[in-house]
Amino acid sequence: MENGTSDPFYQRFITGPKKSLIIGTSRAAQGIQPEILNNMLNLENDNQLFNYSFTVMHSPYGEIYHNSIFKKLIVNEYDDGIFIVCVDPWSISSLKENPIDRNLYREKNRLLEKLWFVNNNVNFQYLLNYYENSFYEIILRRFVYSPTKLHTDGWYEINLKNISDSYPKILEEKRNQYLSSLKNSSFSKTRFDSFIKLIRELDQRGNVYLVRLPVDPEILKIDNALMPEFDNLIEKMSSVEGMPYLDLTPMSNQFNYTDGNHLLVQSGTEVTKLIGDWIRKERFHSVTSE
Amino acid sequence: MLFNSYEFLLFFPVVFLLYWFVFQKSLKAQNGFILIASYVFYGWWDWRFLGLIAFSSLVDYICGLKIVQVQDSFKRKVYLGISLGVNLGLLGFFKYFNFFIESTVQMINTLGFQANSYSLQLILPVGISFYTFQTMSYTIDVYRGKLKPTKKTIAFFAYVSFFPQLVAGPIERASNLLPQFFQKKSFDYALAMDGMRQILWGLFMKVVIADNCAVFVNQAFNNPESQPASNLLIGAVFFSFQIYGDFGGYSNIAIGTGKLLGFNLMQNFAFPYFSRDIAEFWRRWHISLSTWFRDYVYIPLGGSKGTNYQSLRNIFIIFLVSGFWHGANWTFIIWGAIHAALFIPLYLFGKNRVNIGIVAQNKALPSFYELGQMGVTFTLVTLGWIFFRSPDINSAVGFVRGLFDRSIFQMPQMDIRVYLFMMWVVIFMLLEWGGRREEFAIQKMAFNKPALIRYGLYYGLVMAIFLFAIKDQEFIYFQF
Repeated sequence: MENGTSDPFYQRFITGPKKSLIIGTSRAAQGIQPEILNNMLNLENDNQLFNYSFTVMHSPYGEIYHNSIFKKLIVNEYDDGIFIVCVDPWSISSLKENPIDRNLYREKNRLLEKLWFVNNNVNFQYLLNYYENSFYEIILRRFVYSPTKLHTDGWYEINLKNISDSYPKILEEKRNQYLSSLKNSSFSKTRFDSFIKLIRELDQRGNVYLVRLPVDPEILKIDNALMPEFDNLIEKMSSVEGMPYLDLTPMSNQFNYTDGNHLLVQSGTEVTKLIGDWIRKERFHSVTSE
Repeated sequence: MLFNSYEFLLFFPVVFLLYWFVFQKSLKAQNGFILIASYVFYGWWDWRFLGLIAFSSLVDYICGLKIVQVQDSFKRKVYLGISLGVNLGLLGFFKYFNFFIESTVQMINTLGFQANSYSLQLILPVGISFYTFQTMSYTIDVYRGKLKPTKKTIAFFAYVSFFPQLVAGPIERASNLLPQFFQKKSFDYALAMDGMRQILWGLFMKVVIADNCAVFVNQAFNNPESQPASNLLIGAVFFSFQIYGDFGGYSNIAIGTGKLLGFNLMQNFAFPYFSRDIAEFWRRWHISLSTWFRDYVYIPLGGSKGTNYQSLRNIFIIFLVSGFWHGANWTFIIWGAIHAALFIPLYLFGKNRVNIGIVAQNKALPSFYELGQMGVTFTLVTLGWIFFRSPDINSAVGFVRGLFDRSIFQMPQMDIRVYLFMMWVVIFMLLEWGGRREEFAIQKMAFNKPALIRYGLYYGLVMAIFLFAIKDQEFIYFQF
């Protein structure tokens, strides 16, 4: 009965296993629309992309997210999957006091670690333990407008209208929130190593495309303060691993955001199309170079 | 573990089955099992504090025996003093240490001197305000000769730690609960069914009413200065129902659980929001605490037997202490003072024992006058709750001031769900009204109607609990 309007995660855990995934944090969950990519890349049925991104608390890179991703993937051997891996400084950072300590991982004891099954319709474990709202919301939100909807392809749509007046205040609040997190966070080698391990394993199942999504320039300053060498690091790594990397942050001021961190729907559509065009070019180059 | 949790859902049936089917043959075994189950229940919160409750129990067990053994009246007082000292000392240390230090520092700084605040990172043991009062009632009653001390260690420890009422009451008197541990119990089907109904009603109060009202209460009390008065009004009224649903609901679950194990615990709430004046409210709200203060503080101070001044002083002390019992914050003391200020005029004019019976006892509906009385009492109580809920006095005063604004006539700027929960509150009060002559609302509701209607009511309550449950809302009174 839950149709994506009363819970931000449930729909991701009731679809069957997938071959191609979009992974990352909430920037990816809200910013990348699988349907557009599926049309642009002519992906059908089992080959279609599914957005398996969560939040910076639930799905930073590490063993927990790694294990959950592989629970979501089709078990059989195949090598034609597409993996859009969204990465940013926060997704490979941990608490400053000991960034390499896995016991300090913020996703520990949260739902991605504890959920046994991620492909069951109905997912009772999720409903009993992790569904955050009252069950009546499932009924109520079918009749009452909700600005949020988790689509069956995993895209989390947040449809906010007329926020231009309130945007500066919202951005300021988000900025303060990130500045506060900045004090306690730093680059985590263990997370980065997990990230490399993940993309290597995904590469065996298909093609990996690394993406850094745009954010509001004010938030970008904080991202860069967290990891000034982030882009160099990822570019070097992508070159070594042979995986293409698309950094959209130079275009950050061309898009609109809900809160500085997440793309508005229209901007998300534009960004998704940019990613789709880029993947098409990358695929063309890789085909012509073979 | 919370009563409305999966852990309790697994824990209690196991306890129930073992209690009645394995340990029933021996009273000692039953009591021993209750003791173990209670310590498991309490230890689930934090096992580190099991030692504390065991220590408190041991001190009062020994003091109770010694009070009767020694002949010298001074020595008897010493043992009573030890019991009170240990219990109040534990309570004072864990609950009030930081408050006293910070208040003293503030006072010194206000006088122009410099003092640095020093606070301990203390965890408040769950239920400490309840079990210390419960054990003190034992030694006081033994001292007064109202109760013989017991040598039955297991029964006594089980009485102190009895899990249904351990963490949030009712605060049981030794004279009521302890003797029940000396009587062998056999399963009473009618009592058990009554207990099940009471648990169902308690869960409805807690899960549907209290937890859902809390959402809107939190919205209103966070940044009240930036909200219209209509929001604040809803927040205040909903808090009245949140605290009643939470605490009254928990008490109902506790009493119902006790009934399932063959115990009769005292009624703690008797439809307080149908009170016609403040005096009646205090005969119906948190009865176990108010009667405890009456019997162990008010009456020893002289009660109403002395001069008018002494009586008023005693009344004031009781209300302030009652407020202070609720928490280490000036807002609770002010809340107590507000109720003292509301009660004293009734006392002075001899009107504090006018409304003794049940409102509209033999009628279906109240008269307009009674409705007015209930409305005024509810309003005054709700104004007092604002201080109880606010984090500090400035916020409380600001909140009250904010209510008196033209924006009270605006539509509330709250989620549309607020109207759904207004409806639930109305349904809740209608059911309470219908059952006001009983121990709890649905105790005998629809007994004279076809079974379909009665079971339809129970099914409706179960469905409401299932549909409207919100996760992770702690009982308010666990902070005490």
